[in-house]
Amino acid sequence: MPRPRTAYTVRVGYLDTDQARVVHHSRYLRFFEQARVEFLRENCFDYAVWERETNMGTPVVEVRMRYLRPARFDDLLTVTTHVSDARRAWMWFHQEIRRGDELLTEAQIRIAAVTLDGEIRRIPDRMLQCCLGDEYSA
Amino acid sequence: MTAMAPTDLKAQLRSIIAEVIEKDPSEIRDDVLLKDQGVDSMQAIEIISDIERTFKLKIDEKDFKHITTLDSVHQFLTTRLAPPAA
Repeated sequence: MPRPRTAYTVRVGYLDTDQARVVHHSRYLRFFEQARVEFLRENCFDYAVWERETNMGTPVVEVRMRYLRPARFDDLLTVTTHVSDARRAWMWFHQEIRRGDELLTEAQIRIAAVTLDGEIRRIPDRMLQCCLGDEYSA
Repeated sequence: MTAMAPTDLKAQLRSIIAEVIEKDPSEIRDDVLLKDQGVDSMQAIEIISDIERTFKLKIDEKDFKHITTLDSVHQFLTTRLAPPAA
């Protein structure tokens, strides 16, 4: 199985914009997070179920983001997601937001795995396997 | 697995830790907490994974608490790698 990539679409709501009539910079993080949850749903598991069953979470520990062009109210955006690198302690997601073919924002977002009590854990094998496809090795 | 001389084992562990935190092995102190030598929680997981891979063993997550200094890692590994009593 090749390393999976997904495309998630989201329509910009009025509440996503600011006084300058563009999407506020904080809202892109939300779009990216939604896209990662859908990426996991499509390729791995339902995140909410997994969280309940394992008592674990995957906090964001690092974000590198470039804002290239603004998105505006009612734009239909596509958020692409794939895992660009992974180790036992973390995974980097590479994500892009486009309006049609136009690249608006790109980000590298690193997650770790913790118990819901905040103790660090390995990234679960199951998650590495479904995010890396054939490139996974235990 | 062949039993390893204690100094070799410690040198190997020192090297693993140094590589993960990108320091020279000589800078890794034996009895100072790894977190005080610049090892963050994710790097600690990397160190554990590298130890597992190097020594072909599995470290249970409940044993992570033993891995606080180079000395404590060494002691933990010495016990784990010891041949079973006859």
